[in-house]
Amino acid sequence: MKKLRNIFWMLLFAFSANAQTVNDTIVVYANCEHCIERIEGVLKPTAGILSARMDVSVGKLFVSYNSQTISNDQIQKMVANIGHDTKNYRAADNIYKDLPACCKYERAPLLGKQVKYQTANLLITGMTCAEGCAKGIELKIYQQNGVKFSEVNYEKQKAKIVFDPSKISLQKIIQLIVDFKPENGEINKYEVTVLP
Amino acid sequence: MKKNIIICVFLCLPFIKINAQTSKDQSSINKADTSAGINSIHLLKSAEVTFEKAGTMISISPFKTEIISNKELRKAACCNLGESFETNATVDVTYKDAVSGSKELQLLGLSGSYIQLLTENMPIIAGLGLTYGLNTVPGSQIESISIVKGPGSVVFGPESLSGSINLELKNPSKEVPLFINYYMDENFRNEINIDVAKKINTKWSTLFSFHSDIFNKKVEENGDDFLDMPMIQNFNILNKWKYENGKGFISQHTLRLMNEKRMAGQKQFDYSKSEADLSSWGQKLNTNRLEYYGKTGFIIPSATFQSIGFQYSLVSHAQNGFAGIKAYDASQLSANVRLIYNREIGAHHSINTGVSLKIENTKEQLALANYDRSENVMGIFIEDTYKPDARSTLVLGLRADRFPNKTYLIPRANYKFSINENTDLRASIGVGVRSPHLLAENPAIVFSSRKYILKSNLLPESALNFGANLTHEFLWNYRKGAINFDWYQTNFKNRMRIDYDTDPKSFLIYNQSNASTSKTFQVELMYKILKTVEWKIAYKYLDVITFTDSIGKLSDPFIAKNRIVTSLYYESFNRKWKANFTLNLVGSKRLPAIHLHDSTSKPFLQSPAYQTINLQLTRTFKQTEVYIGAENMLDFKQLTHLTGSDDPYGPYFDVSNIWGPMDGRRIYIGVRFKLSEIKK
Repeated sequence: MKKLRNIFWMLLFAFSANAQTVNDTIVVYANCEHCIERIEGVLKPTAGILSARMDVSVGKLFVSYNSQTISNDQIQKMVANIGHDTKNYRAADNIYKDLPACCKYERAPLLGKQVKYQTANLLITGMTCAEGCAKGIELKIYQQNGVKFSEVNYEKQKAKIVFDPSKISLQKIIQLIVDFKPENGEINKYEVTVLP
Repeated sequence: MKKNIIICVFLCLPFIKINAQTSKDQSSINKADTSAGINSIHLLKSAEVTFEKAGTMISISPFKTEIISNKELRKAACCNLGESFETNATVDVTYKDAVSGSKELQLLGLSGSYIQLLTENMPIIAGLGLTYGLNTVPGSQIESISIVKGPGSVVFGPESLSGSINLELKNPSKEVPLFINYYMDENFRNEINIDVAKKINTKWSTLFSFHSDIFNKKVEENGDDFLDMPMIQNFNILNKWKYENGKGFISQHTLRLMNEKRMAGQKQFDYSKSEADLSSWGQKLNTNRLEYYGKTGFIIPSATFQSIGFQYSLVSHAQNGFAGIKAYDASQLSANVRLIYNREIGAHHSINTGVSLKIENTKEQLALANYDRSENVMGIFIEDTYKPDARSTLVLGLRADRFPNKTYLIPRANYKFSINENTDLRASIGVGVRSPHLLAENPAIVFSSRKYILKSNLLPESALNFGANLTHEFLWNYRKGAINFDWYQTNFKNRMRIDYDTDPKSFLIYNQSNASTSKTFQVELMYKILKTVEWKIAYKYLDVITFTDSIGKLSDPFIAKNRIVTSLYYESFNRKWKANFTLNLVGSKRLPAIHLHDSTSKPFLQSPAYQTINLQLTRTFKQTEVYIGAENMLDFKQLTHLTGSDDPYGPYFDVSNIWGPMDGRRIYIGVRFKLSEIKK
């Protein structure tokens, strides 16, 4: 419903568009439903904001606003003020600390304002050994251009991968895991789930 | 053999009894799995490791423990324990004499005899076996080596003065069914290892290991007529049994038989002869050893965690031979037993307490002098591991050991504090006591013409060791690294001093009180400089000094004050290619006075600094691994390691003056074959 309403509003404003209405996509760090509620909840009642939709799966905030009333910068500041890092603003550490436990998202890298690397936490099932499968997958992924860090834990069936999305996609990484064949000739069926 | 059977029967008794007990109370057994139970008994064998990926790891134990895994050992091919520290800065491996190729491990700048060298927590390579003992353990049998700096735990005996090294051999229940290693070098030194592991059933597993090392070529390149390397024939059979019932009962038994023939001396000596005459100088030594050791431990079913561990060893060592016209025969029978009771008290304390007994009978005959003795040392100990919170651990231990001259009280304390998740601080202080073995630990005395003068009866050596250590692991640019700082000091209360300096024609040997200290500082950095390349660099500073009446403060001879080890290790992403490069920079060492032919002596020389490079390339196939490498790539040799070699029966023949490598570059090739279990 929410989605439909947003689309409706967006369409409505698109038709009545004048020079003051701007549609922007802003990078915002968040990870759960609760985050969405808080971010959208603080933006929507704000004067000048026509619509706001936070999508945590892509880490982006879709916002329409009247550029004469409010600016992109001000919106980012507002989001940062309630504890969420954005493309240009970093939330104060004490505010981040006080976020609800479920909202403790992985923070933006400290250096540089641009988010260069993305971290993916994966659940890999079907691994049968620590050395052949887990370590093999870890190194296979680590070998790829654009992958900065790769760690596969056999016991926990979890992988943590840090990569540069401009060089390699998460889909490609998952595909590599699914296609992985261990040295010993075993044929395993790996299934990969992206964890929040 | 009879004794072994008796011991086996004896061991079975508690096992039967306990099996009956265990079935009663399943729940309390399940509380602690076997491995944890055994770990609490055998503190040195801490399987909990923080830096899993690397070949060398710092354990999370409160004792500063460095673990060299078999992955690290395979980086440098070789061959036996003495050659297993090529890539490691903590332990120095040095020659003990310039004829027979005996080597020793040094920790904190102190001679190998001050390290408690343990094999699966028992003192197997000790006493007479120490001289060539490093040769008796083939590298491929070793699962891991733990190095503890500082006095460590009181549980394992009083002997650790500078630290301890514990070897864990391959685990029968985890080994592949068949492993073969063959090694050959450019001088046709041949080594073969065959390990067969078998799981008899879910509880019993066994490992059978055969090793042979044969080197029969006379290599003489430095022009002193003496062989640069001893000729060796070593046959070694090991059989290890392991029983684990999955309910907290574990028992291990290892039997090793070894025969070794060593020959060294002048090239023209007829090595088929059974004694030497004055026409030429030769040395032959034939050693037979029988080692039996093991441990049995079980968890007592009760509400609190309780376990009992029993560790035992029996070593029979017999050697006969000669060095020049001096006959040197010796034999030793030593038995060690240790009973450890472990229990948890409340949520924060774990107590280890028990008794130990060492019985050692030694007979040594050098030329016409007899040096027989027997020593029984009875000890009791108690140790409390206190964990007030998740961040700190304090281990306080006390033991009392009745040596022949008096009873020694040995207190030790180890403290570990985790500053944060990645940073650990450790501090330790403690006492160690040991009895010296004059001839066995100092082969240079046996071989040299230089007289040895024993000025007083030797007393046990004792020292206070204290130090601190900081380890920090970090992630920089998404790559793992670690940095480690060590500082340790050993103050000797009593030390057997071998005085090389006062009289160049003799070794003066006496007890010396409160006159010797060793200080060491080490910093080590490890970082992945490329995705596939790991870089390690370590710097070590050593200052070992003795106060003498005649000269005052004097550095101990043959110890490098500065040493740097750096290595690069490459492993391809598919793990098929591995390469290792190790550079060792050894600083100059103080040399004792040498008495020369023209009756002049050269006091206090310094040896030159030197460097060695070791390389190895390994290619892994499905079940086979081929490696090729070079040791001492730069071919650096100490050419003048023998003093008076032109007249070995003259008064100036001295083999003690060794500070650098005796043999030069060695290029080798080898192959390892592993038959993995076939999975359906």
